[in-house]
Amino acid sequence: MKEKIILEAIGIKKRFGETVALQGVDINLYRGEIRGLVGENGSGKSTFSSIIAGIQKSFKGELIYKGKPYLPSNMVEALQNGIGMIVQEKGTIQNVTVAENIFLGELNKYGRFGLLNKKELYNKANQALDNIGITNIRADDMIQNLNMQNRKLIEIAKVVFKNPDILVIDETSTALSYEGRQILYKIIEDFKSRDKSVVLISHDLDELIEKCDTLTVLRDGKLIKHLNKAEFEEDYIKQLLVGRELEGDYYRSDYNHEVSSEVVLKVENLNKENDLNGVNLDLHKGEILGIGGLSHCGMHTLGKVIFGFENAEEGHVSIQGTKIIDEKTAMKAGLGYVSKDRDHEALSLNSSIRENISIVGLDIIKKHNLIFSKHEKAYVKEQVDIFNIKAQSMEQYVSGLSGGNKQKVVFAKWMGRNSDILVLDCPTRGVDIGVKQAMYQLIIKLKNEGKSFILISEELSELTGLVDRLLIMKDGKITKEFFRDKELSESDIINYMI
Amino acid sequence: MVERFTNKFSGLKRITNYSSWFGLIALISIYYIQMGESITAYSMGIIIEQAVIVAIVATGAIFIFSFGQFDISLGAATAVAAMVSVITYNRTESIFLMLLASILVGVSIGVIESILAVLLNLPVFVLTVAMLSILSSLVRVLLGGQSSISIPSDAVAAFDNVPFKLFILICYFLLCFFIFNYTKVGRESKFLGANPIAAKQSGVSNKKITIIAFILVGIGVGLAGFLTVIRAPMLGQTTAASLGLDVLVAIVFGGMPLSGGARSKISAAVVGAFSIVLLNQVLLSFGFSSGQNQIAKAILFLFVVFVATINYRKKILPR
Amino acid sequence: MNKCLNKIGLLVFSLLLIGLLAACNGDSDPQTNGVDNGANEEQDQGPTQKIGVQIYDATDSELIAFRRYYQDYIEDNYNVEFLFSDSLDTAEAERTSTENFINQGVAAIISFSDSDRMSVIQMTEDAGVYYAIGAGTLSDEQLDMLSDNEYFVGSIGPSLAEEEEVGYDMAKHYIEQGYTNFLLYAGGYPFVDMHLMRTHGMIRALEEVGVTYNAREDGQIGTFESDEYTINTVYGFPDDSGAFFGTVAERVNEPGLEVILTAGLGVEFFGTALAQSGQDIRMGTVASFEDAYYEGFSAGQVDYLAGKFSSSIGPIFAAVYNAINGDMEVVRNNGNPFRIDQGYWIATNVDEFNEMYEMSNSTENPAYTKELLDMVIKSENPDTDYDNFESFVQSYSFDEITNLQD
Ligand SMILES: Nc1ncnc2c1ncn2[C@@H]1O[C@H](COP(=O)(O)OP(=O)(O)OP(=O)(O)O)[C@@H](O)[C@H]1O
Ligand SMILES: [Mg+2]
Repeated sequence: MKEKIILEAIGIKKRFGETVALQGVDINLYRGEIRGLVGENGSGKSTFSSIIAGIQKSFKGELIYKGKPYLPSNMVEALQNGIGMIVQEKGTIQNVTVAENIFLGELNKYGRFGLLNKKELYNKANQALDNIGITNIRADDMIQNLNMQNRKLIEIAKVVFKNPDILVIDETSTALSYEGRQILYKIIEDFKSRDKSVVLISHDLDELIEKCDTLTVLRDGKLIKHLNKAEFEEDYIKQLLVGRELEGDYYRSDYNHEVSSEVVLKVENLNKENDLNGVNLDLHKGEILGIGGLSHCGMHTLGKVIFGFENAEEGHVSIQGTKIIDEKTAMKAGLGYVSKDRDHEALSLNSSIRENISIVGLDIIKKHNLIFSKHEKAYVKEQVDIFNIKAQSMEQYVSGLSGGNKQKVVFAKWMGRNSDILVLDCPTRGVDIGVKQAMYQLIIKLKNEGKSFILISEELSELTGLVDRLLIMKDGKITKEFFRDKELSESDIINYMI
Repeated sequence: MVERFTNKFSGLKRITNYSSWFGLIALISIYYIQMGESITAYSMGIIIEQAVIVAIVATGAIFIFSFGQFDISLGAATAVAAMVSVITYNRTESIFLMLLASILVGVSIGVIESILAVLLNLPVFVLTVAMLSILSSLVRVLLGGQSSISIPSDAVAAFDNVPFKLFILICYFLLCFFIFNYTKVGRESKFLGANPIAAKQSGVSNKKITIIAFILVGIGVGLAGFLTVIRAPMLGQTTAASLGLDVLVAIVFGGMPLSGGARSKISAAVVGAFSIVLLNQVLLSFGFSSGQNQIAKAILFLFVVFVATINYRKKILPR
Repeated sequence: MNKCLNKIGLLVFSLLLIGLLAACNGDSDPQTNGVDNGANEEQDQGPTQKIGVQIYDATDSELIAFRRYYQDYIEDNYNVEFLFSDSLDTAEAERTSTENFINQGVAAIISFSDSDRMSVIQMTEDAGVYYAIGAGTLSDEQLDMLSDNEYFVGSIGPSLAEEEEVGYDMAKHYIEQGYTNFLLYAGGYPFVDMHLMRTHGMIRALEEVGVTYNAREDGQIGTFESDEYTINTVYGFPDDSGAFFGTVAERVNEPGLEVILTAGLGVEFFGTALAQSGQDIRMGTVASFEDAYYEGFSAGQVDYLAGKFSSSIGPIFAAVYNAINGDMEVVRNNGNPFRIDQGYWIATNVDEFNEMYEMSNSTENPAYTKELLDMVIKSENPDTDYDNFESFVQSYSFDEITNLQD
């Protein structure tokens, strides 16, 4: 296989100020190989892949690509040379069209006398979308009108359209729903069949084990081990990841679905154009209510409407008689909401961890209506410790955190507030298994203390593993209700989703 | 992990955070070297005199800037407040009522502006552009066809001294500093500037913050109107006309990011106001004429804005 | 990290900028000194005295001409340095400028700005800085209040009576030539005193020939009635709307118009309309001997000008120079500050204008040369006294000055 090496990374080191993100990583990537990259949050996966994709320039070590030393000066150049990356964070730009996003950085190709040749641009963009089988998004749509999954798909279309030799996919599947993932998997297989290479970053071990030929495990910026398909074994990989054995339960161990009859939140006849079509539900005290479905099923919108972040055209949400009209009333009534779109909606990237966590806890932090740094820091530190948020200090800007650690900040922000009801929309997106376990156990503990949850998720195992009751949504309607059961299988659920 | 809050990193950050202070100190040093023995109590007095009004309005304006908004009508609002206070004095001969009227006018303008912004759901900036022309016409109306209105200068002579003005500045600054750093409103307004959507999702009310910020800046405008009359008891069409721009320049010089957000700091107003006055004094001491002086300041301003927005612009590029 | 570098860069840059500008400025000094050929070595004893000059509009051509006279002629001939203010359009700006001048150690301030003059005079007295008014006058009441102010030197400029007379003379000039159709521009009537007085002068001249003037109750310019004369009026200043120039064009194009009489700003506001009308219309105005009027006269647009000449501010300098040399007594009017009228030069044809224009704009040989000024400066002419100074100032006409020069 030696002659088929496409990219050789030798002794890659990278620091961000005081943080050592990579400390000497060697990886050989072969043609036709699907290489998984795993590791805990902050272990350096994104950093490594962004180096080969030309996003990070200042690093130590050597890259040899197709037999020659290689140092791309930016993402566009790397892509032209055949290395494309779908980034973990949002990679689209607001307020412009889909087409402009797809051809960002090379718009001048379509310009004549400074004017864009729109027709050609749109045709090409539509072609790029068609290529990966997307028909519901068109070139002239504005980015801000698309949801997260669709934005990610545009990035995928953009990169794939350039037909790179190496495709890097950083933690993308968790941003996608079932259908989106199918598109992604098809692309991966297509790449392999054409003797091209894929680097796949994910925290979903099942996905990795199924799709990858080889796995590389990173921990704290160090290379731990390369694994061949023969060595793939879940518990072993977990152990390599965390550096110790994971103890205790991962999901819930009981299969009891009895909950209190007390209704804490009532959703009545919600209607919203394109998204919700007469949704009714009751949430009980101490219940974990799961909601699953495909990307257009309306479940993400439902979460937003319940929290008052978006308004329904008809119907209402109430908590013990109080109607929820906006986020403020929701929070007053004891509701919390973890949004799926963390970079855009849930976090302020250019604020510190402290500011992000304390913003919803100010009422708890304040003493005599005043906020003192001492109390605030104590409050935040508690959350940081519980979720093991990896950062230089709580004053570090969230933009400098790894994807999973950002997600931990979002989770911590709402957990610290001690809400009675939490609407969690993909709460474990991009979080490593160790922390995921901690989050699950915390949810279970709080449930047992009488708190209620609405868990909206694209990960079926998460739903089956945690919920008392699972609602399946399709076309804005609730189409099926399952109760917690040992026998409940993922394939049963998928049948009702599509 | 997070145990060591006081590591080198935060130390470095602290230094860069205070770079506008270094700028101020550098200016003070240059001024000192330049003027040598001719620095007197008088020199220091006029620096305070010339900075105080800008510093007060800028301090209030920090609130509006902190959540990423822009108010360009502050100069005109100050002029209106000053005019009303002159008229009030001429009717009542009471300094107290004059001060009260000025603050009342400042706050009313703020309330009207913010309520309109909230009701019409307009960007504050757009609204203040409209407000600027309304307030300028109001100034003309209040002048009633005269070229100037005034109060006898001995009426306010007792207040025309540095300690009094400094006292007002300090009181107002402390009020704002306190609200900005030790209350929910202050935290929320910074967060709102950093990411409006995330702020909304965290239960921060844009409307509430907007109204409170405008009331606070209204108090500042009122105080500034009063001090404007004390400083020059004769007001005309162009009174405080350059104040709006001076406030903007001061805030930028003081190290306040124009987009607001987490790096917003209230001290930027005072540091900035004193920096421009000192810069002006330094340039004068080098024998610059006022024209050259303006150009030098404009270049420096552009440069500061350029540097301050480098990071911002970088983010727009694909990563 | 990046941020840190940026900020340090900023600091370095600002310091560099200040240094650089300072360096440029440093360069220019030796140059001007170089121009001072040895002729005035005798004055180089003692430190150069600074005099602050406050102006209301740094772009005004008259003030630019004044500035040239001070900086290109007086500075070369006396051991003084003039510092000019910015455009001072508010009382606040005037105060700031006064503070800065005092802080810069000026010995005196000559003012062409009048936002809140009495406050400035108070400040200069407190600071021990001499103050003189370069154009304009004080009321009797104000003068009274200043009688025991040791630092207030005095004022030279057209009195309001003088302004009225200028308007009267100008209107009379045309009436006597038999013109009957006038357009009268009243400028900032009734808010700008000098425009008001000049307009009143014009009205008086018209009334003398039987025109009836109906004043308006609101104080604005009124209307005229007469069988023999036709008199239209325009007043105010241009604003953003452009309406002003529309009105001007309309009036200028009224059939039969013979003469435009303006209380100020003739060519500036009427030049374009006049050129476009293509008719034979004459214009009389009160302005100054500057390029716009040179062209106006050459083109036959303007044929009467009452104007200030650039060095008309020579005598006020002489007075201030005496004061800062410790010779205040020679410019004391019975121990009080002086107030002396100074009128305009009047050109009634292109030849006169050209002669005056040339002298007004010369920096080698201005109207008030050093020799002339020295006559009233005690350190140069120990025999001078107040009466001498007063009559010197009052002999302002072109002929009187040329006589003095000879
Ligand atoms: N722009 C940045 N500024 C400062 N530190 C950074 C920056 N980007 C990454 N880091 C740090 O580098 C380390 C590695 O981050 P990286 O994003 O590569 O992790 P990751 O393996 O992708 O984690 P995740 O699974 O959470 O996405 C982390 O400690 C992170 O805090
Ligand atoms: Mg990552």
